[in-house]
Amino acid sequence: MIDQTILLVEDEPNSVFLLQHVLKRAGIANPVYVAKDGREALDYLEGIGPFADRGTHPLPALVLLDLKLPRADGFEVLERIRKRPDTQKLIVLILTSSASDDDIARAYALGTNAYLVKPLRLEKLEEMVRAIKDFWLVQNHPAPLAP
Amino acid sequence: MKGQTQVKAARPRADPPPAPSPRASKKHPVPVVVQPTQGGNFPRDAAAINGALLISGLRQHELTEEAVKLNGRLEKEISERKLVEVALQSANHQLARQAGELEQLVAKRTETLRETVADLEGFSYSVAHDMRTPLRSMQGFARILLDSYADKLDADAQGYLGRIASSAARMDLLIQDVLNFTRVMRSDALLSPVDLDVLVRDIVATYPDWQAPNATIEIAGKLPRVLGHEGFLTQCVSNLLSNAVKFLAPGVAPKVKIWAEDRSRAAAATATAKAVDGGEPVVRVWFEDNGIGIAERDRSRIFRLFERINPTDQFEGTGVGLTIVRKAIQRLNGRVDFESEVGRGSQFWIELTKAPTEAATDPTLL
Repeated sequence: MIDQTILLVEDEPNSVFLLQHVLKRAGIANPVYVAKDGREALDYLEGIGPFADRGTHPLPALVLLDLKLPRADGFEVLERIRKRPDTQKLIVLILTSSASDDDIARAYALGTNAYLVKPLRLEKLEEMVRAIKDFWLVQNHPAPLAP
Repeated sequence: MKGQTQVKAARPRADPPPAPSPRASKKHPVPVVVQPTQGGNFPRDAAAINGALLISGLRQHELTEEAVKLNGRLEKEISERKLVEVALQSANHQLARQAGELEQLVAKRTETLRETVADLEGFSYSVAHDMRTPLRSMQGFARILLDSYADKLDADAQGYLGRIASSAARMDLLIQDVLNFTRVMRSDALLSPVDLDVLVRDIVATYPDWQAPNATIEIAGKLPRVLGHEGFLTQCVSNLLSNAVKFLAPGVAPKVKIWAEDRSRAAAATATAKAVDGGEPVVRVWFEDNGIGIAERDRSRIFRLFERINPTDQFEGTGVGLTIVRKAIQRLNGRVDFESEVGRGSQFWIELTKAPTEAATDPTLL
């Protein structure tokens, strides 16, 4: 199983708490860095400012990206990730409350790897996180990150 | 008679004169012609002139009277025509102004409507995205307490937490249903041929609860192709079926039968029905259940938004399902209704226009 960092981009503290809770329950022991807005996520991924050291802030194995975020929204973050050669092959999973057809279409057009809608029940969220783990961290072979 | 003074009064013609202008007839009375005698016989001439003057005076009097009458009539007619003309002109002006105002109003209303639609879209987006987030937290934290702190909570406390969690879940259901409803209201209802047989069988296959032995759903024969919209029809069929298997007396296993009935011949039989259906081939699809039935007094309430006939603690639901069905069917130019008897089940039906046969779906033939 891949044990690199997971970048969770989520601004709502309760959602962060509940996600970390189910990540733990699903047996995902990877370090999780939480970016509270789109700008911070981009700074992390581009190694800007406090994130300049790739030793402490390595490129993540997985980006769990909400859509509605302060400063820069999920679409903007996704677009930037796909434009930069050093981040374009990152695995980005949209994890949002919105099941709007427009949002889904736009996210795929910008190159998301998957689009997941947060379920209401915690039990279902845990099931979803287990599926993410099994597929993206166990079964899947990611692209080599170095350009 | 040579050498005689000729006196001629121009006689008024029997037919009405060629409408002289009233003023002209006043200034130039009908001419009386006096021709002097060739020798210059003064007394004769004078007598002739006098006579002529007399005639002319009499006639003039007569004629003036007539002219005045005619004049009066003409003036009246002219003033009437003028009035009409003025009225017409002002009506034209008013029309032009009103058309302009109307155009402005339409433009303004369209703009307002566009804004409203945009607001509504923003609103449903916010409902979908923002309002569900706190609900997820409510449900999530209640769940954590129930899972991880169960040993520290008595039965009451656990019950209350259960209620918090289920209330959040119910609120989420409501939000989703309202979103489904607004989607049916908003999206374009472009009619295209839909294979109801495939659609209904696919929907039935999607729900584990609708398979034997949980439920028996029988589709009798082959359902036809209709003119519809796949998304709308999916909403209709799944709502009708979920009602059919839901509203059951305790201990009864759901049994649903679906079949199609050709209504085209029935429509052709009576002139009124034909007028209503426009003579198009109509098909009615029936959904018959063995549920608790619907009382006659609830007939009008059942399709209304958020109306519920049965208490929530008996049957889960939001009171949106049949409203979606009705709205969707309306937008497909179809009809929906039901027959029911309390305790003996319900038969809901939807009526739609049949799609042309495969061979006739060539666009040039449509």
